[in-house]
Amino acid sequence: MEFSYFIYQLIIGLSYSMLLFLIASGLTIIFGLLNIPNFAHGSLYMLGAYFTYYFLKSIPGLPFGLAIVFSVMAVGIIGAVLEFIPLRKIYERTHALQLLMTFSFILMIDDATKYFAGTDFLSIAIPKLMDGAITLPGDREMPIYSIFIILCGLVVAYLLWLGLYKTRLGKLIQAGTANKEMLSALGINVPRLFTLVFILGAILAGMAGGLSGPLKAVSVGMGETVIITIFAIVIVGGVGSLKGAFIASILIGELNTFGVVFFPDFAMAFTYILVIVVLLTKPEGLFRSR
Amino acid sequence: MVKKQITRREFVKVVGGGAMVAGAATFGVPTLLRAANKPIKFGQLNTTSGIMASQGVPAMRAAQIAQDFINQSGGIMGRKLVLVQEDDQVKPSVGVRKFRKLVLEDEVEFVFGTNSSGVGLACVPLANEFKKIFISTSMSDKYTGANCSPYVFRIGESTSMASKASAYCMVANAPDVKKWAGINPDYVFGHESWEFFKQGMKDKKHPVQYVKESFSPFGCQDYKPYITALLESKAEGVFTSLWTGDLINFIKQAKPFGFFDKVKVFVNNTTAVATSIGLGNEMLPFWGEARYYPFYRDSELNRKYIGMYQKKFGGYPAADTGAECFAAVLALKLAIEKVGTTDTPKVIAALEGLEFEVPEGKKWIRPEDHSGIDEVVLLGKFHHDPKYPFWVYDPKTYFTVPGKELAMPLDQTGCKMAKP
Repeated sequence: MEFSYFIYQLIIGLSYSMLLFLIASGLTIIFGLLNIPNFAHGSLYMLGAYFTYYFLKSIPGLPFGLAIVFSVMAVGIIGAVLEFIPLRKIYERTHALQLLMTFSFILMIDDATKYFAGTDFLSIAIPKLMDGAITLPGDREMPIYSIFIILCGLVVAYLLWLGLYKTRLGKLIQAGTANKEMLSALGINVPRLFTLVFILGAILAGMAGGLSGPLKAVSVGMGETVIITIFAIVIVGGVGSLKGAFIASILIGELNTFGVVFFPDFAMAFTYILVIVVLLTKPEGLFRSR
Repeated sequence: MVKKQITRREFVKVVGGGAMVAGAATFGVPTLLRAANKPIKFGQLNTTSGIMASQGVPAMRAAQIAQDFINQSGGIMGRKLVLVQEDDQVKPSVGVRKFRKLVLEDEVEFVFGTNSSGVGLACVPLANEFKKIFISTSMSDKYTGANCSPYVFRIGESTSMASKASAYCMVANAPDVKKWAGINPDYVFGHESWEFFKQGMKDKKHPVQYVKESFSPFGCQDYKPYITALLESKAEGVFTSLWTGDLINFIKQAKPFGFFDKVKVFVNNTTAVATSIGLGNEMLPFWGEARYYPFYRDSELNRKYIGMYQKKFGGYPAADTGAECFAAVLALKLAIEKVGTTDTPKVIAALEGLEFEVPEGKKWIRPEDHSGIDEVVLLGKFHHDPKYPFWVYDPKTYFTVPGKELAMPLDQTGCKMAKP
């Protein structure tokens, strides 16, 4: 096999990895601090895509980037409502109950979406500026939008890293992920911190949904199709670890891409083999932060 | 305390009178009237939640149109038709549970539906166990092959018909394309579609080379590796049986690679107009085949079907499963009226060999294996026509194959039909 083809597939894989990271980052932060396995994260991702579609449709000439910003705000508000009313009542309960509640969010959000948006597929076009591809050595095309996704992933990773490691709020989140009791002992308003973090997670999910729009059919249930892979990333990376989510996203994205291209009969298995290997050798995940 | 005594005479009078009334209620004239007015219940299983809701909801709606259509014109033998609709969640286990519920709790007399053959085939043993007619609206050839049974019908096009027709169309319209590749969903439907497409090429003795066979998981999120591998294979023609959101995802992700300029032809065996509605302006000129295409046949029934659907739900009856649900309800009505009863063995006999008109044309149910055979199977190449709100087949490209030519010869179906 040519070396250039290998590099090409590496870049193709990276664009999938970064999309996965955008979704997984919010989930791992929520899971880490709030200790809630938020199954409805995929639904917030779906809402991001729907809102982006409707903002683009109802405001002619609205730039794609601005549509994402509006959509992220809308999903953030929904995240706040979910956290503020039902979720904060069950922080101390068992995971089973939390899972059940976040699962009920999926059903409610799905049904509400069906009610307001119908069940037809919707489609967001690739923004004009990013339509098309650049030609790489070996006469192979690399879609500009996929390069854009890679950049988005890297920028978000960098900003989150800055936010988590260089700001007071970030340090509180880290401290809380490691030891929750310590936070309230220090006089921190923990419920408010939790709300903020849940909104941050929802915003990340919403943004990932909006950015996925041009690559996928916007439809009810699109969240459920990603959530298992996203949980696999969070578990492989280590619950609550941003670095872990980043590395695991790259691993799973590239494994999937190389699997499909070079070992198509086993492509599906690679992700799960990775999960099993990590669970057996490092049950806490690669970079567990507590 | 005074006890009220009941004399023997009074006792006889009360009990006897009651018995007489009860007897009249059971055997008398009012009962006959009541039975005649009792609604006939049909049970439906389709997927209205999750990723397949875009297919199942229109299927439910199309069946409701059939229900209105029948009830507005006097019902079935004067009895009202009532649909009991259940979501199978595209899970065989749920489908089976709901099938039981429909039969045991709702006491429906007939069952039809499913969007996925995985769910429908899981229901076949129940149809046999309960001795209830089950009309599949999913496409597997197995309903009328290895799994065939007196109680099971598949009255729409099968996977083999759709895939072979796609091959015939390509032989006629793209005879120079010799290097073919496939991208199909990695489950029974995808694998069978690809095999039958190759069979279709063989039927026409068309010399082709297969340069890439790929199968992607249902609900695949990232098609880029498949797309790049297909391009690397230098295929000139690509056949796909991807459908619903998967097809849209594939097209959206392939387009920026210049995929549709690099391959000469792209043909799909399950392109309901739902795909072109979903893609809007991003639609592309490729070849599609669907069990129902709204604009081919200008018949009164088709106009009525589309008109009633638009009036009740808005939009077009876009999912082709919907038309099969409509057809299933209609077939049952016609069969029941033909024999004047809902008695299962008699209705089976009436369905066998039934010829009837549906929105997409005429259908015939082959008695030996219970396979529905359409008058024609239609393909067309999508183009933009300002008359329609979404891309439609270019009428100049209509390509039809008679259903009888596509139907699997009886000695090859593998069906050994038992007695009901």
